[in-house]
Amino acid sequence: MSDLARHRLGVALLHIVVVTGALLTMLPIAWMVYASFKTTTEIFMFPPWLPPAQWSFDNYHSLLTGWAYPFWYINSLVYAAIVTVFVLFFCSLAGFAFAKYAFRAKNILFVLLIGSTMIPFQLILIPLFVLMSRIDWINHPYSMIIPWVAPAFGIFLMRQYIQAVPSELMESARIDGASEVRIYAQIIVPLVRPGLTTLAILTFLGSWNSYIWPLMVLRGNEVITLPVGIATMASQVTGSAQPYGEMMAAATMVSVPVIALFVVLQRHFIAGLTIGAVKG
Amino acid sequence: MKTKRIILLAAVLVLALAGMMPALAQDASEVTMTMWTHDGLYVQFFSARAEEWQEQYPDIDFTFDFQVVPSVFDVVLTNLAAGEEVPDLLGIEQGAFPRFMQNGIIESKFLDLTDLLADDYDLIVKGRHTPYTYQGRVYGVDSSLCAVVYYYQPAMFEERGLSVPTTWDEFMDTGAALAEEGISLSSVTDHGGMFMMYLLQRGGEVFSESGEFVLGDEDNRQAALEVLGMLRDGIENGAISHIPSGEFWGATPITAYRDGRMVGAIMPDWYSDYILKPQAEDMAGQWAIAPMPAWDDGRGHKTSVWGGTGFAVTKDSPNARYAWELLQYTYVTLENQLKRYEEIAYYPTMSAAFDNERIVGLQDAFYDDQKTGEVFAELVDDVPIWYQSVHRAVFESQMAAEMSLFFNGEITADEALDNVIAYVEDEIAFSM
Repeated sequence: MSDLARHRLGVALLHIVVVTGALLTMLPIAWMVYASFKTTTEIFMFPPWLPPAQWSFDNYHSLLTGWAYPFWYINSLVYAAIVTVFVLFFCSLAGFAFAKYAFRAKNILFVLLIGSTMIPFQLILIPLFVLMSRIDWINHPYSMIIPWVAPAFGIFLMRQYIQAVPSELMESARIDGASEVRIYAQIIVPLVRPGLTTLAILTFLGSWNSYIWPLMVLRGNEVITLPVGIATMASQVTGSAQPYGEMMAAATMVSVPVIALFVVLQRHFIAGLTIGAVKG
Repeated sequence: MKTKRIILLAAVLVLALAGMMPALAQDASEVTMTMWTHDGLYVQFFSARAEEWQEQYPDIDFTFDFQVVPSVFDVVLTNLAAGEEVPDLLGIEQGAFPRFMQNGIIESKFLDLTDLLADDYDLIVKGRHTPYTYQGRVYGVDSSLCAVVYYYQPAMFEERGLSVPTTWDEFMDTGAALAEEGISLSSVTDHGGMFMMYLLQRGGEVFSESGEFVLGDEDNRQAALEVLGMLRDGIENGAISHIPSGEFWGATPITAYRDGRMVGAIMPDWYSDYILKPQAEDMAGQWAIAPMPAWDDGRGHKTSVWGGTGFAVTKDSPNARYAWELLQYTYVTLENQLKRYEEIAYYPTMSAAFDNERIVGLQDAFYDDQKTGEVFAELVDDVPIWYQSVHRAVFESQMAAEMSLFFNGEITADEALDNVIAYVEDEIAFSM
């Protein structure tokens, strides 16, 4: 077999693997969207690709009119957006400090910071909840934002990105009279945009999908977030049947902002992931 | 003078009226009652009853804040750990109730209902009290009978000249005949709760009244071996299909019913409205209900039990008295037990309700207008009594793992039981 033929075979095999993987990934999502147009009985028909007797938006209509879904959606969007903005600000600042400044106990602090990422959330759930309770933040928007504005992983990620920025750029700026804040805002932030994009997507996703914490701290049908709301739908039955069709419609709409965010920021995200993967 | 008198009289009248005003216009005291549970139907039913119940307190302005909370037991436990207030009423699924039995939480946080129930205790089937009983005291009132029956498609028997099996021996024989056509009579899955369901019918128990793990006792072990043996025989001769737990609640059995590959299911009352009707509404009119098969030697019960949700009252709640009264009105009166069935299809837990036409006379179109209540009326006084334990979750999880191996023929019934007993006893010893 010639080199060209071997190369083509390799490319073909690679494509088969990638396309198969893509199809396997897309299949549940496609089924979810498809099922959102069916009744519960049709959802449980076999084979699953059988079309509905009548294509209809009834599930979407009843989702938007019969449940507090619009509230859940807005709550989730607002929390995810605010947390993302705060995380980008605080993590980039802290990462900047760890990457570019020398201060006492810096390494010890950094080790503690990294060490804290090894503590599973389940372990801090109760103490954090108790803390929120003591300061009267249960069912208060602060509890959905403040505890999550400076995650250790985000600080670590930003430190790694900012370390790659040449210190000479900062020194030049200082010689030109730039303040430290200006250096941060006008030199560091633009240069670590791929890192910020990566962190933004990860943070937004984390907040958007968060279930246990909002379940614990939020009370009331109109103040909860999407994951808790959809879990409520599984319990809160209309008639007697679990509203699978409406839940599929809800899940379909949940995935829209996430996909949109990824599409918009895809270029930066991929650049952020691959940065440092090759040596220039 | 006369004018002065008239003015004086008028002033006195005005003052008198003014003095009366506070009594007439006095603000009713305000009470907000709260409830968390996992099922919207309970919220719906309690809300409707609360509107009726509050009429006995015309001077009190009640607000009812009843909410559906997913994973309600986790949320309640976290709140209790943090010292946060929890709602006046809590509806907790029976499987999660033992979590409140840990470290005596139930005693300190939930209202002891034993004396409050008083004579009403005997009106409710005893086996519906025991899942919420801790050290002899009752802390919850159940929402449904949860008795087990056989849901089946009569045409599948009639077409072949077969009758509905009434004993396990008949079940095996009929199953063997149908298996030749690739049809099974029912299914089983790897679930500790399902094993308990069959074990309870046989007269065995996993935990004693005092919460001790007694599956290893001679009688219980024997009953467990017989149950496992029966299920295995059924799988081997084709009477019973083994469905992995991940598929049991979804399309797999429903498709088998629809395709004529499975006749029905041996499941509790809630299977009807939670699974069968919504997932197979196109099969309305093709179903019927019969008692589950009995053991041929007459030992055990005519039915079994699986599931339930207990409503408890928070002990420290300032509204504990009202909460109990509402719970009593909603769940411990005959009229409202009948309404509960009519409105949200949960069978009554009071034996007396099964003498009422509103239960036994109600025809269900899904079951070809069968009076399904009549079947449950035959069984209500034979619902098994069973007990909870803080170790139940450990048992159920290990039992499910061993059932999978056993049904697949990888281990014997003795090995499965030995493994479960050793594992649970180890866990108990570790927790002491």
